[in-house]
This record gives sequence, structure tokens and C-alpha cells, in this order.
Amino acid sequence: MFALWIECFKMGLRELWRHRLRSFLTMIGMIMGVSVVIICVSVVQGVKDSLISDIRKAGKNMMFVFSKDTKKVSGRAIGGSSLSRADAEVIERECEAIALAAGMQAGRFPVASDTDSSNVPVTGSTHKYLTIRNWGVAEGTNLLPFDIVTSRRVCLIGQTTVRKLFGDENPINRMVRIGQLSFKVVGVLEPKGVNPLGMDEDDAIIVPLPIMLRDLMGIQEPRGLICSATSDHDVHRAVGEIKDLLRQRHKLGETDEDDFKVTTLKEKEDQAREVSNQMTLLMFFLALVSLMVGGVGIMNIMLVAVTERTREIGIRMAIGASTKMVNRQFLVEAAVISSAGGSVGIVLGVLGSAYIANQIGVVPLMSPTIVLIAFTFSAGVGVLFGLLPARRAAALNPIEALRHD
Amino acid sequence: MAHTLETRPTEVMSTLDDPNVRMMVELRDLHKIYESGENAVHALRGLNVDVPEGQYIAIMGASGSGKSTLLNILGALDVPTQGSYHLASQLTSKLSRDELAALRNKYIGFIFQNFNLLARSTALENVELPMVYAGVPTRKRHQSALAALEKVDLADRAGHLPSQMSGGQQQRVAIARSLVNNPRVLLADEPTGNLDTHTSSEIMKILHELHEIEKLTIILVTHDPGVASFTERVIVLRDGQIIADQPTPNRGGPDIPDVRALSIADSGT
Repeated sequence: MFALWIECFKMGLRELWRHRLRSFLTMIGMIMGVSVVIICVSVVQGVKDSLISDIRKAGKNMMFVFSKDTKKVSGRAIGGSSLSRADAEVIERECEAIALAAGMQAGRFPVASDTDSSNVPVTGSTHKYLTIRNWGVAEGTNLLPFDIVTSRRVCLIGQTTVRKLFGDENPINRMVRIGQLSFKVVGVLEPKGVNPLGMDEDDAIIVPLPIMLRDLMGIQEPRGLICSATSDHDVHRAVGEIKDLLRQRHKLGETDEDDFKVTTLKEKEDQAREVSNQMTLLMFFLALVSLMVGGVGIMNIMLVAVTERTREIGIRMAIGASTKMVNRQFLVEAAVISSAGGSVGIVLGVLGSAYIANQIGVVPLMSPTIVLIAFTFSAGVGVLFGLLPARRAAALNPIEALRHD
Repeated sequence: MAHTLETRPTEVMSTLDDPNVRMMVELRDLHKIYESGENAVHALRGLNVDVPEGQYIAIMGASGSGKSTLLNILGALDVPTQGSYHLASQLTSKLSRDELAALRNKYIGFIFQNFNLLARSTALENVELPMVYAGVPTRKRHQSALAALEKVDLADRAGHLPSQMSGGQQQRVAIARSLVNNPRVLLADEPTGNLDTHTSSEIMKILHELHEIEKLTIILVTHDPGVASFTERVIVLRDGQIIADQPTPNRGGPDIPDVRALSIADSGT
């Protein structure tokens, strides 16, 4: 019994080797199908992962509060901000889910060094800003609380801006001119790269908030606050706490609309996740199509091969092969070729996705489930369409099979 | 023509009238009807044949006489529509597909006009194949196959593919293959049909020796009276019926009828 299986196995292997070209052609369908599925899915998963980690990199559990221009706001100049530096302090003190909060004001100013000049996005904030943004200082020091309180004319400068203004020279303790004012560079920021919106985060200058407001912009209060939640899970609670607190502080009635807007990176992350999930699905269907095409190829060659071998089956039956033996031989052939093709497909898929992911700068994310699905599908098609025609041939009358050309 | 079915079964006409001889093949009222749509083809019309063990017999007939159909039934490749076929006292019509396969494997050796070797297997592998299906262990199989090839003088060609051998050599490989399982009956379907005269006589010599020395029962289908004359007994078929069953001239029988002439006479009427 077992010996017969071994015989069938040996016979199957021999036949495959004797029909090398045909075996190879059958395997191509399998290889293509499996590897394309693996490449598509793992690369897209890798892109998704890097997208989300990019967003996470932007800041730790970060959320923004922006002033909304509502004319209902009483007691404030129209066009002024509904938020204040005091709001930031109270949020940080009162909200349990908030770790840090700081006022934030952005603007764009012509900035000049001794040699060069450029238009640079300038952010006014406090010493907490970098912590909230999960950003570090590469050289020099961060802004100090002292700098904020005393409105010192110091600034932090991003890598791109350094290159623009100072070239290869060390900018620490050099002076830059922002608008009409001179600032001393006290620190150079770590490189942060391009954010998900495609903006270069390293083209930046950070100055103490009071100077930004009073001297550069000529306004009273910042239009934005930047906060970080105590943990990833607290983001939602933190948003609620901020809303309640600000409504209370801004003395908004039950029916009044918020005069501010809270956004979190969590939302952006969810969006990114949703988009890339759709992308994954799309790629998966594309890959499925290629799997189908591969499957049809396998089917085709298997059908032709077995039909072509009807006479062989006839000879085998004439000299005493039972239907079972014939079926078994073809099952072995189909199974061996399918699993060989599938395995090569997996190897190629892994190598291919590593290469392609490397080219677009992400880490591929292999999913064993997808590998298994792809392998099972193409191997299943191979075995099925290797076996079905063989069964049909083995069910023929031996003489009919013998007469077959 | 196809409707004159009232012919009674032909009487048993065995040329060897010794009742003690064991019958290798017994056919009783054997019919084969091919149903193909409206018109059924009555290929065999009630044959009764006994072939004693060890006999060397030729079945002759023009094409369409039913001799190939008879050979297929004798070889357990096909089953009769009606009547019985006993091979070595086994009633074949009661066997299943797989039992028939086993019967072919162990009891019957086939030699075909077109050799029917596996094109991509070596001579040795071809000869081994019946033993594979008989479950013979690899080593034993190897030895027996080599011995069989030696018997037909082809031991030096064991590793060759059929395409690398002449027709005569291929047929000798086929003979070796038919013998490895020690069959009770050797069935040869126009074994020299695709061979030249010289090679034909070589093959016929091998068959003759198998009969003389190994006392093998050989049933040979041919339309060539020259080939038939090597045997002991000739059965002539026409329209699915036996029209002659006689010893060959070398056993004191009458001349072998030329079936080719018969078929021409047929088409004349």
C-alpha cells in the first residue's frame, strides 16, 4: 500500500523531469500568481504601516485646538483669536488626560542671515512645543522657560532652513533676521523629514511665543493651542475634557456653537488607515486577478498535458494499472508541481516585495495568511486540473485511451 | 445484412480434440454490439472458441471482420455485450474494472502492432512497468527486467529510449515487457505489421521459441497468411462469425485462406 504510493511518487517525479519544459511552463502560472499576491499585499501593508508611523512621528498623542472665527464672540476684537495663553495653562492644569499644552502661532516671514535670505514658516510657542511634537534638538539647546517669560530674541532652526541660510556653516550663536527683528540661533532641530501632507517639516524656525505675537504679528493671543494626551488611549477623553473646559471658560451657552475646533492625529491616522485599507483591498483584488490568470494558465497546461497523455494512460492500463494507480500518479505529479511552483512563488514574492518596498522606502509587511491563501489557491487549482482530466482518462475504456492520438 | 440475426451459434470446432487438455480460453456465444446512435454495429455474432493451454493460434480476418474486437475482449480490455469469456477458468464478465486491470497485469501479456511503449521511459523502465503495478519490490523488478531484456537480446539497450531504437528492437522490448509477469496468455496484435520482412521473421522466431520452449499460450491476430503459417491453428473471421477453424498446413491442415482476397470478394457483392 505504502510502497505503491512511493512508486507513484517516483513515477510522478520522473515524468515531471522528463517533461521539464512543460513542468516549467505550468510552474510559471503558479509562480506569477503567488508572488504577485505576496508582493502586492505586503508592499501595500508596508506603505500603510509607514504612513501611520509617519503620522505618529509628527507628535506624541498630539492634538490641536484652533480658534474659529465666530462673530458671536463677545468681548473680543472681531478677527482676534478666541483662544488664549491662559487657556493653554488651564488645560494643562485641569484636564486629567492632558500631559502638556502650549499656545502656538504660525506665520511666514522673510528670514535673512548675513549671506542668504529665504521665506520661512515661523512658529511661536513655548519650550513644551518640541516635547509635544516629539521633536529633538540636534545641536545647541531647546528654548528655556526663561526665554519665553522674558521674551528673549532666540530661535530654533530646522535643518533645511540651516542649509538655506548658512550653507554648511554652524549656525549656533549666529544671528538671523526675522521680519524686522534679529534673533540669536540657540539650537538646531533634528531632521523630521516630509510630513504626510508633503511639506518639509525641516524648513522651520521656532521662536518664543510672546515675541511672535507681540513683535512679529502684532496680535494679542495665539490662534492655536497644541496639546498632548497622557497616552494613546486618552486622546478621545482629552478632546472631551478640552471641549468642556473651553466652553466653560469662553462662557458659551447651551445653544452656542464651539468657538474653537479640536483636531487630533488620531483622526488623521484613522483616515490614513482607512485609505490604505481600501488600497490593500484594491491591491488584493488585483492580485487575485493575477492569481486567476495564473490559475487559468495552470489549468490550460494541465488539461493539454493530460489529454496529450491519454495514450500513455491507455498503455499503463493495458499492462495492468488500476484506475487508482493512474489517478495517484497524476495526483502526485500535480501536487509536486503545484507545491514546487507555489514555493518558488513564495520565495520570489518575498524577495520581490523586499526589493520593491526598498525602492519606495518602506518595510514590507508579510502576512502569513495571504501567503497561505495564495499558495493554497494556486496549488489547489494545479492539483484539481491535473487530477480531473486524468480521472476522466483513467475512466475511459483502455482501448479508447490506447487509440487516442 | 445486419438483420439476419437468426444464425444459430456456430458449433464448437476445436482442432485439438483431446478432452483432457485444460482450456486456457473458453468463449461461449460471444456477442459484441457497438451502439452508436441509430445504427448498432454487430461486431461479433456468437463466437464459440476453446483454446487449450499451450496452443499457438492465429486469428485471421479482413479489416472489419471483428478480429480486433475479439482480441480486445480476449485481452480483457473490453467486455462482451453478451455471452461468456473464461480466461484460465475465470469468468471475466463478472470482474470489476480494477480486477480486470489485475487480470491483464498478471495473466495477459500484450504485444501491439505499434509497440505502445512509453515514449519517455527507457527500455528497462518500460519492461519494469508491469511489475510496478504488480507490486514487485524495486530490486527484484530491476533484476527481472534485465533478465527479460537479456532474453530478447537487448540487455545492452536497457538505458535507451524507444526513439533511440529500431522498430524491431522496440518490439522486442515490448515482448520483454509482456513476459515479465509470467502471463498465462500472450496476445499479439499484428506484431509484425510495422516491421520489414527480416525483422518480422526475427520477431516470429522469438514467438515460436516462446511457444516451443516455454509452452506459452499465444494468440496472434494477423491478416498475413505467411505469419499465420507459423502457428498451429487458424481461426478465420468474417462479419463477426467464424468461417473457418482449422489446423495450419504444418499440422496437416488445409491451406490458409487469403483473407485479403476475401475482403475484395466482399466488396464485390
